[in-house]
Amino acid sequence: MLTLADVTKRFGGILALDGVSFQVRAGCIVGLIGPNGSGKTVMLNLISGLSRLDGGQILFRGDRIDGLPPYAVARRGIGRTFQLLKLFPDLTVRQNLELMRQPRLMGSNLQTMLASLPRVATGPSAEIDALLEMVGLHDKQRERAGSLSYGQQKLVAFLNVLCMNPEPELILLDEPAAGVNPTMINTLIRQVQHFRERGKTFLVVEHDLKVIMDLCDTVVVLDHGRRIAEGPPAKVRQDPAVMEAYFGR
Amino acid sequence: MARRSWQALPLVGLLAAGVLYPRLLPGDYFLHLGIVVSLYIILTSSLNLIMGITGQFAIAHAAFYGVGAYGSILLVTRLGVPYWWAWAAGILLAGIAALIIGASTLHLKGAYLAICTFAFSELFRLLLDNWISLTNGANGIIIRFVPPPIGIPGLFRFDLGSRRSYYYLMFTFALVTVWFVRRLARSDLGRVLGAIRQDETLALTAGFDTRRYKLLAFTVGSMYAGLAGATYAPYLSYIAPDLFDVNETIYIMMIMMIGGIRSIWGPVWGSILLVSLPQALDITPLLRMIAYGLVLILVMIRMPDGLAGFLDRLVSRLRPGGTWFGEKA
Repeated sequence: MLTLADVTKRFGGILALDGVSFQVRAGCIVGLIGPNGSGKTVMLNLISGLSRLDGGQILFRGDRIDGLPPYAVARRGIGRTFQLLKLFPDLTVRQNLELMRQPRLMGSNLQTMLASLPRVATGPSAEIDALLEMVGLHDKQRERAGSLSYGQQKLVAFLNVLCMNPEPELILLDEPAAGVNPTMINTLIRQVQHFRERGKTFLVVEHDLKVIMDLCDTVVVLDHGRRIAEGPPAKVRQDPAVMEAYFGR
Repeated sequence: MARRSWQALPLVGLLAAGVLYPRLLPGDYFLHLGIVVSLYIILTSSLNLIMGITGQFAIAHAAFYGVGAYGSILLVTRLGVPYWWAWAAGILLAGIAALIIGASTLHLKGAYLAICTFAFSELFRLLLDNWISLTNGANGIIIRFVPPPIGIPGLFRFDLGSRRSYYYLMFTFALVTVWFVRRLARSDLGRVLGAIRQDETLALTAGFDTRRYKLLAFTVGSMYAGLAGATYAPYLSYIAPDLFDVNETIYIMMIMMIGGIRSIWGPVWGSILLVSLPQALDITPLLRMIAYGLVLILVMIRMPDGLAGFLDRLVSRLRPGGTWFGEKA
């Protein structure tokens, strides 16, 4: 589904990613791990179009997506969450999800843009109800998203991605468990697994190795912008290069 | 249904107040006051669309107001274009100017956007000041014509030789502007504009082409400023560069902030207070600026959501849980 070929990114004299290659197969959960500064978030920014490549290629379903603006990447079917929590804090939980679901009209002509003017962005949706119920936020749906606890906001951010229109096939999760209590982490893990069973593909950046081990089919390890290991979680865990990257010699 | 009826109440109230105003407070002075209040409702509501709802810190609103005024008046006086055609062209010119300025600056944020749009505003003023053969420079242009009547035969007619007709025309445009901004804010499009204000990166990665949305809001808001200029100029009988400089933008921003930024009704309350109070108190321009400064400080400290929010809190004591005047975009 997603192919990263020889991906390179520089920030001035710093080589953040140095010819990294790996693949994410459809229906898999791939973990992207590594010590701080190893280039994980940079990789997600490159995939989602927030940063530009200095070398290499990124292909999604066989088409190059590097060079596309972020909104165009999203419309191809790639959604993401952020390490530093991002949602629309002034909107209610439900309004966040409704906003994500509404059609993206501005890519088209003036007529369709203006056609969205008289429409009022509310209305019942069984799909939104079901999602809120699933993560236990149904009773919070009328509350301002910014007023929820950090863990609940993380869940809203996750639901936001799932509600994107068009529905994302590949979801990039940037440290979904960071700062979240263990109960919420378990909810999140269950939801990721649930949506994988429904055909979604995930690329997860995470520092919590237990989450990675519980969740992922394959793990890619980065260190200083290079891929140092790739494979099933149990195998990668024993890899001497990984041990060295995390714990030193 | 009942909820929707309640929500429409302020709009109906504004309509009723506007229609009855000349009967309740007759005389040229009050009509003039009504015209100026209506002018600032248009200017402030349209700036609220750009700055309050979409979160674009652009400070060139008065320049677009000037493009509408100068554009329409020059077309009439220099080329002999019939006024209402020139009026439409003035609005269109403001839109084109906004499209060009917006396309080249709206990728910027915060102070950078403010500086760039400020530069445009100053450039526009300098152009008016120095292109004497066209604009008569700092001396301005005296407008010696009265716009021909406009209306729909058998339905209504604005005869702009009368101040009362001018009031009703300006008030109609003010009402349309408030209605439009309210409608837009509650639409799918408006919700995206609000999302861009809250987190543009998230909106981008969610698939919204934020630059186009921002450009649309900037252009539409500036066209309303152009409308204000093109309509108000013949009433004023005189236009000059200093009417459209950055101080005017700051004045409009002040009305927006005191009225309640992002509030649908803030521009209405702000315009009524800031336009009519100094006139009623009959204070000099210097004292007026001091009074504005004091009011702004007071509002920022005591009423961060502006007059509209304050009034809403008062009203919600009568109707708990409801919102009338503090209706936010």
